Amino acid sequence: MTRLRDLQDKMMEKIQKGGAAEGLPIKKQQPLDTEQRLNIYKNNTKMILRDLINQVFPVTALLLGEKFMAFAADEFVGMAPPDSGDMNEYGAQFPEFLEHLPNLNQFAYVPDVARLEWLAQEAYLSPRLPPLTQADLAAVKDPVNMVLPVQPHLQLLRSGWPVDRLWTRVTAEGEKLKDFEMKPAETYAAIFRTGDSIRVWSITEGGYRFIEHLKSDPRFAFAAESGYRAEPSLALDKLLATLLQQELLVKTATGAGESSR
Amino acid sequence: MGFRKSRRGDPAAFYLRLIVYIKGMSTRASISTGIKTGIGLRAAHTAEIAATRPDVGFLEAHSENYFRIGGAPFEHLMALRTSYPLSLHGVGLSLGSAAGVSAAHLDKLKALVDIVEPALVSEHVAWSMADGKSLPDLLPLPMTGEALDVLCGNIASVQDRLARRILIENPSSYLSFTGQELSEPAFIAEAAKRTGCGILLDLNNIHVSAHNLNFNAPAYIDALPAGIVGEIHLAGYQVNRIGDAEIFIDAHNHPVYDDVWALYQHALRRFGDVPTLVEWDAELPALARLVAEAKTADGKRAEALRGRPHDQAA
Repeated sequence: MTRLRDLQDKMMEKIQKGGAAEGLPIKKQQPLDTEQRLNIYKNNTKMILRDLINQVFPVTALLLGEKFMAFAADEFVGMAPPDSGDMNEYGAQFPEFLEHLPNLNQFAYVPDVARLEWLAQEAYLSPRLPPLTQADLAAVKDPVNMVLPVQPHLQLLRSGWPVDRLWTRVTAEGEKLKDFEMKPAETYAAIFRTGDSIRVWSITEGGYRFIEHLKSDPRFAFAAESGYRAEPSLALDKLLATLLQQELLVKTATGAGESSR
Repeated sequence: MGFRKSRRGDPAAFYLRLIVYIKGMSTRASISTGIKTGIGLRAAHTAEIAATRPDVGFLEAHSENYFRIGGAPFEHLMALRTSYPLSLHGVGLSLGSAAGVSAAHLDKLKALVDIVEPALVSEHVAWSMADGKSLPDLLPLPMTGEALDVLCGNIASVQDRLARRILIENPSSYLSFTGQELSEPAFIAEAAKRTGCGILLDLNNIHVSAHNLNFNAPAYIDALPAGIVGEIHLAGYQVNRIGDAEIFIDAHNHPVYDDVWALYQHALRRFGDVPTLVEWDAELPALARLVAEAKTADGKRAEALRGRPHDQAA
């Protein structure tokens, strides 16, 4: 009898890479031969992973079409098989994989659509913490030193294509894609959730830099500086109002806490 | 100027507050004999279950779908926890892996179990991880002494880490191995005996495997000792044709077949009342249809138990 570890390593490779049953101690039992029995597991795995990729990247799938998406998913699975039993983690590299797929040259924006969809999943699976309110913000005594942590579900996307508008349109109107003309355009978007719904909010470069800074360093003054540096005319008051309204800022122990510099 | 993270702005602190807040708003409920049949909790039904609170005994959730503490699925699970006892059923721990279970996966399960405090925690007698890779399927173990040692070691690690007893589910199989040293019921019964875990007896899996691997399903049930079955699963399977052969696939996409209902009553007559769950994962029906299937299970259970001397006395 093959030792268990050897058996599992070999069987894993044969299922993932499509190897023959030869060399595995599979019992011969009518009415199927050993190859047919192993194929059931190969097919199950292939279909489950294909479905998983389709579920996480539905708009990407719509843009690519069923056949090409199945091809892309199979290629991706072959190149980067799952390495965790938590399948919610699987697919993070799919957008990058699409970027390097040669047949996709004329659809250069599709990898960014896939990126947006991965971020949407991240937003969906991330927590909503108690939000900062307008009253909390009004009570701040030292605005220069306040800290404004953002919600863990708030994600950011930068693209050379208006993929935010495309995604919004496709999710709102289903398959009516014919009228959408894709022209390169510098695009900044924030992706977040309200309950179960995913929202995509088109923002400016300054807004992007401001939020990006808050995500790694919640000190308001430094984030504002980053935003104004990118966009001197940044309407920070309006940006903050929307962040508050959409409950995208997190309440700290003291409302909008002050930095402990 | 170096950056120092503000303690007051540290999102980790808020995580902790979130968890404490969530724990405070829920109560733990048990799943024991006499409870009505439960149903599998699937995303497509969650909102309707929350709105209509159907009369089922408990809900069983796939653990991995709720690993992201605080995410939208987790919020739903915690909201339902106030109305239903919960069972967490894992599919990705790979209890049969010779390389051991993933510490990272087990940590996530531990975090979830600590917050949800489910009435039951279960996993499969199968493997899905090897050589640093993972498959989204449940692969069969050879029924050997070596595999039994591996399985028992992994179950013990999980029970130690979770500080609680788990249930292990018998697999559905499309192949078996040469050189097997034990029958499948002897294998899982021995694992339960050695580790103190219980058995989640999936009757659809027994029926599917019995057909695919040519063994007798009622004899499988009769070979298990009484007292170790902590839960029963019921589901439907798919009939696939491969050449001239008919193979049953454990697809959970169909009502429970008559053959499986018969096995259910056979098992109840042997083991007595056992908490029961109807699983339906693919080609999902309307919630009302799933609830009706659970009601059918309640009826079948009452009918089977009526004939048992102990239950008559009770």
